[in-house]
Amino acid sequence: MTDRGERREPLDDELVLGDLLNHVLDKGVVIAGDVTISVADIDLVRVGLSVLLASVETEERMLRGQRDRADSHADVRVLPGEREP
Amino acid sequence: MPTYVYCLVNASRELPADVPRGLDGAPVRAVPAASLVAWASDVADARPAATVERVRAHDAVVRCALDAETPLPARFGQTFADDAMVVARVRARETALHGALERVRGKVEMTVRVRPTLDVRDASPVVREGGSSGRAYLARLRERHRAEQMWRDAADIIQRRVSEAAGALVHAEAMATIAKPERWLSISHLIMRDDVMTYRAALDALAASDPTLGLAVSGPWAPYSFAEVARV
Repeated sequence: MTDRGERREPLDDELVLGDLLNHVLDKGVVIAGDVTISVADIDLVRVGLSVLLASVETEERMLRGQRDRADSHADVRVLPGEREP
Repeated sequence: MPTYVYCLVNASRELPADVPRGLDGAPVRAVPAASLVAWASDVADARPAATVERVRAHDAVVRCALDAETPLPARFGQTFADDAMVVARVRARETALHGALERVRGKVEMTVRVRPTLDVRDASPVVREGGSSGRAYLARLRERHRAEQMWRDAADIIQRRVSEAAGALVHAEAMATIAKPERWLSISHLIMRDDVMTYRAALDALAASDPTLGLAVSGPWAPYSFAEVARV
């Protein structure tokens, strides 16, 4: 999206860079244990296709799921009148 | 100084003279480990931060390996105390790593990115202001689940279309969705090296037949998406 909220098609170079980041940072064989990647370059985030954002999204989804489950339990206990018909 | 690993290749391969420099300009060397060889270099930091420049350097070394024969590409950021530790780690998992290398032998990865210009792409969760009651909360929850389901359904349909277009060229498939900043679908295919042109033609035909798919193909890549082995 542009600053004015218009949809902007990514350039070929952006697509290739996005794919490069996704491949090299998120895939490939892990020889031993886990790999922790630290980020030092804002461009990795700015490119907008980065696996880092996808990873954050995954983590958020997991946390949201945990919260939803906890909240739905709380709903039954605390707000019985507000449950779905 | 820690040793950084780029990829694994068969022991019979020699390091080419024109292999590019690795991270931070370090010379790349071959580290024999049983039936495999790790292409590696020294790195100053045991946890090198990811930068675009370093990611490009990592992939350039892997691509050099790919030029002659498909390697098992390593994920960015893997360092070991020294070469001896690389050898020990590879030896410990030699069977699995060798099997993974065999699975990708003679093949490359192609990636299809789809950013459909469908209404469903805009069906992101709606967070309405106000309405703090349990009923309002449940309504928001339903809306979010509905939007997610719409996207998953659309992704399944698109994946089928892309897979059908690629047809028998595909030896393995991996799919990922990227939700931010916009909804994307990324489909990776493992194909034979000789089939790249045919694959591109098939996907170009699909893109031309339905521009709403917003389809773009990249590759050939080293088989990053198909290099997984069971974690230990």
